[in-house]
Amino acid sequence: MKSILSFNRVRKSFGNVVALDSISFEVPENKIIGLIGANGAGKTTALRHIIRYLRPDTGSILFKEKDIYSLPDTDFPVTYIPDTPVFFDELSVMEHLSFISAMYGTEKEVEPLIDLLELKKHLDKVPFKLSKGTKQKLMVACAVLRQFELLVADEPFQGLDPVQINVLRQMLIDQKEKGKTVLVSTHLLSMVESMCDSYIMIDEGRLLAEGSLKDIVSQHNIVASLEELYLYLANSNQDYPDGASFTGDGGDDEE
Amino acid sequence: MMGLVVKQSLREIKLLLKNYWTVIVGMGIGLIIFFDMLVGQIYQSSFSLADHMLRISCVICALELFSILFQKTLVFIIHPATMHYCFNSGYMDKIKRLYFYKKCLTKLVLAALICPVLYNFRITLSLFVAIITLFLYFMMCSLIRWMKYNGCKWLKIAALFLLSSLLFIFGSALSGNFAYIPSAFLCVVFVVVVSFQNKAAVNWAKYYEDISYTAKSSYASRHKLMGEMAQITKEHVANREHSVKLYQFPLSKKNVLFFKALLETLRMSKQVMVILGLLLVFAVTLNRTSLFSQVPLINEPLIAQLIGIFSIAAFITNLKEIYFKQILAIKEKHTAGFFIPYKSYQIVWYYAVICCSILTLVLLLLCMILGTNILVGLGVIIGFDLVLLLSFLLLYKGKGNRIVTIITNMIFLFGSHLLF
Repeated sequence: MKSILSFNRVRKSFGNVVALDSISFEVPENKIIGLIGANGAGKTTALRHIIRYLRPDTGSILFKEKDIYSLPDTDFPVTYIPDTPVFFDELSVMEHLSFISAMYGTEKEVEPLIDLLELKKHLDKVPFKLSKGTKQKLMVACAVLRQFELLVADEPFQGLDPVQINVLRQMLIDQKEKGKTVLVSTHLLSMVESMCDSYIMIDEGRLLAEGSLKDIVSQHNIVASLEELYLYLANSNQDYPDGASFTGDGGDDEE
Repeated sequence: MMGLVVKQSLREIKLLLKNYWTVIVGMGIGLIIFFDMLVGQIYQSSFSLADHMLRISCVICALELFSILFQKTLVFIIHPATMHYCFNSGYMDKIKRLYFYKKCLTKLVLAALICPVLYNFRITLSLFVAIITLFLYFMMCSLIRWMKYNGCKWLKIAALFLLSSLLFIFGSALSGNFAYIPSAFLCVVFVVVVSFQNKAAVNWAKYYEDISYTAKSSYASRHKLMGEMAQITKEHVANREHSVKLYQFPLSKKNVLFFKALLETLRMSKQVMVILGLLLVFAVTLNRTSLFSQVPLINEPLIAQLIGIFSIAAFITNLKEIYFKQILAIKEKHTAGFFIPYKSYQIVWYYAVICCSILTLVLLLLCMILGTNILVGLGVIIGFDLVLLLSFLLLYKGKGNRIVTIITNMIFLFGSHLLF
């Protein structure tokens, strides 16, 4: 399977804390991949390397065989939905959408997106006046209005109501159907199970497993759901008491 | 309760003095010099303010009208915690009365400070009547502002303002016992308005939001929490209604950053613009008028020129800082994942174009006023624009930020000298 992105023995530490411990994995092209891990597992750190916010201490990250840090800003093929919204304080919702669509020439996609994400009544509001869920919707809109090959989403379902979670889930599936690759990190394991083609499971900065659910299950010779599988792998990796390593509470990732 | 309010006010004043004593002392000295100069000029030119009462009253009316139309600060500022805990209790009426009396006291003090200057410090019955009249007029205008805040109809507001202004002007223009009649009428109008306002509806939701903002910002300012102050101001400014929107411009990939920079310029805080403008006005007035000729030290041509150079350089460095912060904000968003698909020099260029245009216009104007040699003036303008552009590029790249800032500021300082 052709991979769009690969982590090769990437190590990143913050002082004495090792966030990524010589981790290697591949992100297959035109798939939805779930990046799964407990709080502090290193998910956000890994994603921040992909958007070049961080640089590895050692190892390399390749995007289509090219060093990701050598790609030009003008043509960066990654779009990002961060866990903490990033906005221009002074621009309203509509101004954000106009700004991005003008930069990427995607003006025609603005109106359908507004309808899809139900942003119409918020168009003249500035970001800090928006609720958490609406901010997240705007962040999603800003991300998909870009021209990209890989969409990286860090906890994209946070703050959304069930209807909007479903809308976003469908949006991510649509992106795959358009030929894009989606890498999504979330605590909602039931959500990724219904959406992802394969998984990258990490714990304490180390890779636990990667591949489709079927592959991972067959490798470990167990029959399990995604959640059970993750708990099993994390426990066998870390000698945790049963079920104590995973907290599916949707809390913030402080990595 | 009055004791608690006074205690709270004293605590706030104490903190303010502790954190800003240098600024307060500086302002105090400045004010003393200013009043000394003003009073000196009045006495030297045998100028009597009492002869110009009608004009002075009209100026006061104009200032009050300006305040009613444009002043954003609240008339009565109750602490949000006080309101939160007492709103549905019997204390609320007492609190409202308390803040009303507090307002009365401040306006009375203000009137008692202004009137003696106008009446050459002669204690007469007319002086007391003038103090009362001015106090009533100030209070009437505050009440009108309060009515406007609570969505009162414009017709009522205009009628009340006209009536009270006319009574105030008549009271000032007339002499002898006749002067007391308009003042008495003003008093009656005031009592009527106060009694009606007591029962008038107040937009409490809006008021609570506004006093919360005021309390938050004044807390941050009293405690000198600069980061928090900047964030509060940023959110407050962002929340304002804007008539010009980004999507009203013909946006394309080639111009969207330019229009964003232009929009940020149009939405820049008016206070910042006024302060920057005042720096230039001060530099010009000091060097090209005789307004400060009575002020010791700065009436010396060399010192006046030095202050002028510093003021112009301060204007340019502040302008540079404003635009550099905007460029930096773009860089920060880009790094945090809000990708901006432009090369660094393109981002810098779109912002620098606007900053350099403003600087060029201002410098051209200054050259004309200061009578700078055309060639020298053009040289300074081109030089400053190039330095600005280069410094933006270097600062954006994060190369030797401190040294770049020091060198560019030095260039602006020495270059400003050539304008004189």
